[in-house]
Amino acid sequence: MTPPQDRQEDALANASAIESQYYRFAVGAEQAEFALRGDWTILNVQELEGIVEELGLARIPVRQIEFSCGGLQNFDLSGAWLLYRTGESLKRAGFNTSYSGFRAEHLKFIEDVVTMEQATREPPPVPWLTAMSLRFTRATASLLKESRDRYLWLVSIGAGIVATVINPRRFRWVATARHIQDAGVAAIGIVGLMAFLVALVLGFQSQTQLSQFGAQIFTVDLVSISIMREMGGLLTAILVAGRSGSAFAAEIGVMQLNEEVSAMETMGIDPFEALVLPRMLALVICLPLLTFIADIAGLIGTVVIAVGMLDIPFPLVVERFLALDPMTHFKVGLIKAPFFALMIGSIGTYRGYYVERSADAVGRNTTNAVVESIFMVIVVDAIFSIIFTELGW
Amino acid sequence: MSEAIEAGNPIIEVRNVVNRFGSHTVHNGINLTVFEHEILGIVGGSGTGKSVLLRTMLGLHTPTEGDVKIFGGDITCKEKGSGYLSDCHPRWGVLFQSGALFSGLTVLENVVAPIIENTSISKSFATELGRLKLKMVGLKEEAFDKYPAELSGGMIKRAGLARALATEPKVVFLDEPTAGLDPISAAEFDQLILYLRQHLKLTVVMISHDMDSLLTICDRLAVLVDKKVIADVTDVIVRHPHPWIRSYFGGVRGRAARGSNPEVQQGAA
Ligand SMILES: Nc1ncnc2c1ncn2[C@@H]1O[C@H](COP(=O)(O)OP(=O)(O)O)[C@@H](O)[C@H]1O
Ligand SMILES: [Mg+2]
Repeated sequence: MTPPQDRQEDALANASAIESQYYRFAVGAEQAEFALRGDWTILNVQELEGIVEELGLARIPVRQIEFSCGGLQNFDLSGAWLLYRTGESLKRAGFNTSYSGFRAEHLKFIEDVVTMEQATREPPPVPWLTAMSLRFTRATASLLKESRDRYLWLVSIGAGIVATVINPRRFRWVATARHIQDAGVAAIGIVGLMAFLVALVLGFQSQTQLSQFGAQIFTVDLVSISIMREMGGLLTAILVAGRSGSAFAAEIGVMQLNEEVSAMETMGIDPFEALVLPRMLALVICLPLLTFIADIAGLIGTVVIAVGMLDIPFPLVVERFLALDPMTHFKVGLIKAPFFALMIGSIGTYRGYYVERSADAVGRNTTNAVVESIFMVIVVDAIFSIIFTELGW
Repeated sequence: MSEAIEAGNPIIEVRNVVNRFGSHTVHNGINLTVFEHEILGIVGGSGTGKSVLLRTMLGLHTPTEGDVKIFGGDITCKEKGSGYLSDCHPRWGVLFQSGALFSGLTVLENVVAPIIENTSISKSFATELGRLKLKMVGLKEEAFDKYPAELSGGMIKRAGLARALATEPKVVFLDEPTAGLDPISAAEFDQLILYLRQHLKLTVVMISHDMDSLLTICDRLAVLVDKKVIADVTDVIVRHPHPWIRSYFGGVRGRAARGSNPEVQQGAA
């Protein structure tokens, strides 16, 4: 499509013409003429840009270029833009440009384009050091803002709980009941099954190891203590974070995008009171109960392993279990549950409430809610481990 | 009506289209021709199937019976396999009622996206073209890098129009372009459509309830009544004897709008 380089140089020197499907370019003694031909549209404008660039219009020996457009068949705004852009860069390089032979519509196009000149110029690039420090400042500012938001969020939750205790009649018990149903009652089956299976797996693994020392009987101690102290509460919290933490973030996020939250505010309904507190309270109530159910299911699993696989008689299993001081272990596991609930609930609702206004934000915030709450649950668990070790529980 | 209709070739032909949802017949034998370079307004009561007609013309909905031809090819299911529909995509643009801007992209990215999807144009050149289109619909530079959620209703419509025009289409479909805009913004938007039609040689098909825009910018009107279409030049439709059309254009709001239009006033006198 493009003439080879040497032929082009020749053409310019001999002041003869270069022709192609899209243009005819002739350089005379006084001025050059660039005649557009065929189609200059969005379909071939990319190809044309390459062709025009390679032609190197700026290297011609004369200072006057005329663009004649009489031979065009199809010409749209994209083609007009390329022509205009070419003309402008020549002008900046010190050439005189002129246009001729337009059909009326083409001329109007160009006029439109010319009046838009200022707007279509790219903003000047920012020096990289400035750009980097700008980005750093912005990141810091948003981190600070988020920390403040989260802090205020926790404070509001605390204040809300205190207000509920002082004046329980204002609290939305019906909404809370619904969330207890969704986040608690509906999760009983899966939580129980999971704890039971985890106990079986733990029991199976530990008995294989312990039998090497002839100490199978300690399987009962090991499994029941790990279930009651750690596994029951932790696994339940992780499951609830996946089920309900994500649901909170998504529900409140969609309501926020739908301007339902703003609508509530204009009606004098406090969205915090209506949306956040009932969910928080439901979790704080449900998570300890679910943990208790997980503990029971895990203990049943322990019994199944002990009686079914290790052939330890049931009364002996019970005797060993009671010798472990089970109430302390139960207590250690259950005390943590409301704190896990606070983490899951506050992160889920926070993520929903502060959703950005776009469609993918709900998905992103839901994912973040789950990941953050699981992480925080584990952090809280670690803190409690230290405390309990200090207390000697 | 602001300028004489230039005689054009038929560009869209809807022939004997029947649309049924279950036992509910929405369209019963619709015939409608859209000519090149005209602005055609589609009018009708709520639930008469304006949106369904638009979706049928766009190949989003396959009619129960009948054909729809655009640019001379049939886009109903029969030729779907032939890829004709995908040939049409860069040749038409659509402005949906809510704007339907991609909320995860900035305004500029919204306009650049169809260019990159439909042509082999490089990202940087497509961005230049995108900026040009946005400027063309009257958006300010500051708005280019904003997300749709940060825009006002009028800006969303303008950005949606720029996106509809991104691939240099010959036909644009507008679903209630001025609904939800204040009268001044609506009038400006009408002028923008007229201006672009004139300079880009567009054909415009618009659904509208806005009496001002119907009477000031539409060359012809297509009215959906009795599950059929009555289409004619705006002046003729305004005086059509059909009872629904009479009450539609004879209502208070219709008269107020017509009062501001000297041509119609003269005719009535
Ligand atoms: N996908 C669908 N399924 C069933 N009925 C539909 C569907 N789309 C539209 N309809 C029906 O078609 C009729 C016309 O709808 P529509 O075109 O949206 O009306 P409008 O003129 O207000 O835009 C309505 O009665 C609607 O119930
Ligand atoms: Mg509709």
